[in-house]
Amino acid sequence: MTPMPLPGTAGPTDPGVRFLTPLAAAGSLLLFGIMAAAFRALPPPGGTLPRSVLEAVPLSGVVNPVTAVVLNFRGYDTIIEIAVLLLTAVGARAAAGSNAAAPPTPKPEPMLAAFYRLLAPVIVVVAGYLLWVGKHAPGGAFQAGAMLGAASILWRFCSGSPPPADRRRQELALYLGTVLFCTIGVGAQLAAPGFLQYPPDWAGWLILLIETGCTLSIAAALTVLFTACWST
Amino acid sequence: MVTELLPAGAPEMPWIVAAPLLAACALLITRRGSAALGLTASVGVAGLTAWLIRRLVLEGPQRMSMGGWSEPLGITLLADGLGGCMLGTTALVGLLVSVHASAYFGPHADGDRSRAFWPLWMFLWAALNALILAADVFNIYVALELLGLSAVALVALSPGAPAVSAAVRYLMVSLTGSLCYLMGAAFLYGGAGVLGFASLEGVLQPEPYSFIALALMSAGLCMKSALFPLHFWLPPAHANAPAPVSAALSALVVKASFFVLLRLWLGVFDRIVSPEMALIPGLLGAAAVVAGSVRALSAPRLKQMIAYSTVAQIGYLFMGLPLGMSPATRRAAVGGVVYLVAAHACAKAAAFLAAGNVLQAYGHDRIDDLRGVVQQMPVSMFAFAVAGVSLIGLPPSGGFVAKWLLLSAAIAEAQWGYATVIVAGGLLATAYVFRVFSRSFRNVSSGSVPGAFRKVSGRMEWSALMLALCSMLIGVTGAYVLEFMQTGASLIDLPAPEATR
Amino acid sequence: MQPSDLYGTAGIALFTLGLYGATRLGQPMRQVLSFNVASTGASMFLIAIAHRAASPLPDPVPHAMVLTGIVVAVSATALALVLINILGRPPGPPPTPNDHGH
Repeated sequence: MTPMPLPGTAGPTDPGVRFLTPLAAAGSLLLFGIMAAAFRALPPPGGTLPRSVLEAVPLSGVVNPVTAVVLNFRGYDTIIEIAVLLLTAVGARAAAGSNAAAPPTPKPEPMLAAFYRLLAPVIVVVAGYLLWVGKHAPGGAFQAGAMLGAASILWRFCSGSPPPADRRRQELALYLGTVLFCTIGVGAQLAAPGFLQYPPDWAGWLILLIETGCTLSIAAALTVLFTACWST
Repeated sequence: MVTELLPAGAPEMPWIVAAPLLAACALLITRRGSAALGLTASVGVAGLTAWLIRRLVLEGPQRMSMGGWSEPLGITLLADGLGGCMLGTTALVGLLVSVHASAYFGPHADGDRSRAFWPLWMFLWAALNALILAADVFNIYVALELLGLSAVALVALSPGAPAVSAAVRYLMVSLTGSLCYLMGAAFLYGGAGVLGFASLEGVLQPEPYSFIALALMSAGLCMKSALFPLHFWLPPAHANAPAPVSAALSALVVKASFFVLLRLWLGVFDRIVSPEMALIPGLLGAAAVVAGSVRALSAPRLKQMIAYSTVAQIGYLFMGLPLGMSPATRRAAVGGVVYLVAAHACAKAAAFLAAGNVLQAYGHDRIDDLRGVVQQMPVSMFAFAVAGVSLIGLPPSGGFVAKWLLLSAAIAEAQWGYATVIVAGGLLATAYVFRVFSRSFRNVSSGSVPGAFRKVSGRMEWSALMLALCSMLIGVTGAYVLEFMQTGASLIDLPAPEATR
Repeated sequence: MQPSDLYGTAGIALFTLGLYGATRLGQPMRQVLSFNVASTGASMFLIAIAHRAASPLPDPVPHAMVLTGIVVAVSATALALVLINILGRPPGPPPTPNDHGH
């Protein structure tokens, strides 16, 4: 059963379509024109923020400016973002679980399993490298987490549903990132400076610790999201 | 500007965001007793919020730089009087909704749905707190996403196609709204070069990029607040969600995005907005009041009716924007709006919880088949009646104070159109509230009952009643609340306080 | 015209295209795809903004915004797809008498 479509979008027979489609198309073109003109009319970049960020990077414990911004200067945004990922994993599983009549899990594939035995160590090593190199170059928790997530999903294709013991481990990995991040944040506050304020000497290691936790969380969340609809 | 001179401190500020997140993670591992843990966590978060509000009252507004990096490098949180009112409302409604939910998810209190509810509810609460405290344009975006996605996930908890269908539609609208907001934020950063409110206030010039940013961000937030005509997602979502979820959604979630809109219009975009621009949300709000109330009159189900009533009441909030444009009436208009948020939150939550009790007791909530429910469920129906009084706007409820303030602002500015709509909205609200009661007393001669009756837990009925009484309490303590709201009022520039009652 | 102008304008085009699709297309799957197109457009626009910055390296702040935006978009898309999947299933057994769902 498909949801009731939005007004005016049901299809060619919908009386609203004839009138709304050209109107919407014209409106979109107009919006594009206005936005493109506003983009052209942007004042020349005179802000000092990029320069001050780049100057503050050595204080952040990492070398890569983007990692410094994501995990140190604007780390509070990243906590909430990891929480978003965790939330959708939990929500998707809950919604799929509370509705009956789930389709059967895909059958395990032997060809894929054979290839996967060669592929899996490579993926894990590359993911570990991406995590580590995030300090100096583009990389970090998200990229590594995505690779590990892909590996985990392929594994599910090969072997079907995980046994209950693995399920527990999966859940643990899920919220490890959030817990770690929040705990370090609160801990930093209790140790006097401020919430999420890393002591400068330890900043690099704390960031690495947080990124490791987040990598596992991201991988677990992606796996849960992908396999949420498979019957357990 | 003003925000930079505020004292830095208030450790509670990040805790009221981090504590629900940690509680949600803890709830993910608990196998049994999730309701007890969830309730404990709710009490804890409400307590932390109360502590923060106490600090606000005693010491004035607070700001805090996350990570020790001050603006513009880092993110700042801001808690002033306006935010304090919103936080207090969130804590109050959140606590009582938790009490209701601890009993709502049945005798099988550790079933899958109940276990899933509590972590999602904690995420929602964390998102609300994060959004209210946020003083950075991109921080607001992330918090908005957390809020919208947790709301959708909670709606989808209800089994059955109508709920999931409503959740999908809600998700689509929510995502479109967030995307518009993000694009607006991108334009804002591209032009201004900074993201924090303190850095942006007073810096933004009326250039093309700021108009585009204002338009996009406002459009996104209006979509999330269900402003007419973008309200079509709200009635199915709120009517089909489980009762405590409906209460939280109508009372808190739609108000949070409006609160952000208010902050943007009165703060960052102060020099950009004009009374002509405010006409758009004003007229749409007026249309919302009329359209929502009229649809509520004909809604067959109780929860649907209450959801349409939410659409109507949100219209009042948006009418506050044009009324708040001129300095003379800004105080009354913003006061009215914030009051309405608080009073409506309590009243609407009470109404939804009462309706949920009725639904669980009889298995249906068709208004025309509810004869005798008042006699069988007096506590819930009394709660509904008290909530109705606030929705209509009769003294001494909070709704009355709110409408009085808005009406006085409208009359002072000779905005007879808005004044008429405010009054008409009250009359229409009377009609749909009375419609429920005209069908819910027992017909003595026929002695019919609404259906097979199943006794509902006392906790559920009394939490509804408590919320309804809170909406009355808010009305009675009007002067204190309004005075508190003025603390650190960088949004409401006033020479000297004046009596409002 | 700088390269960043081209990318920025293309980003805006993708955004409006995705917005049109999200509002005008009826099927939820197509709306999800449109949302992804629009989200990619917004990310491209942000990267163009980063490139315009007057600093030795591109501005890292919009890059951080894009990273966060992508993660959020992926999460939202995944949730949407799971919900759409649920909608497409055959209806389950009717709710038991003591499970007054709503």
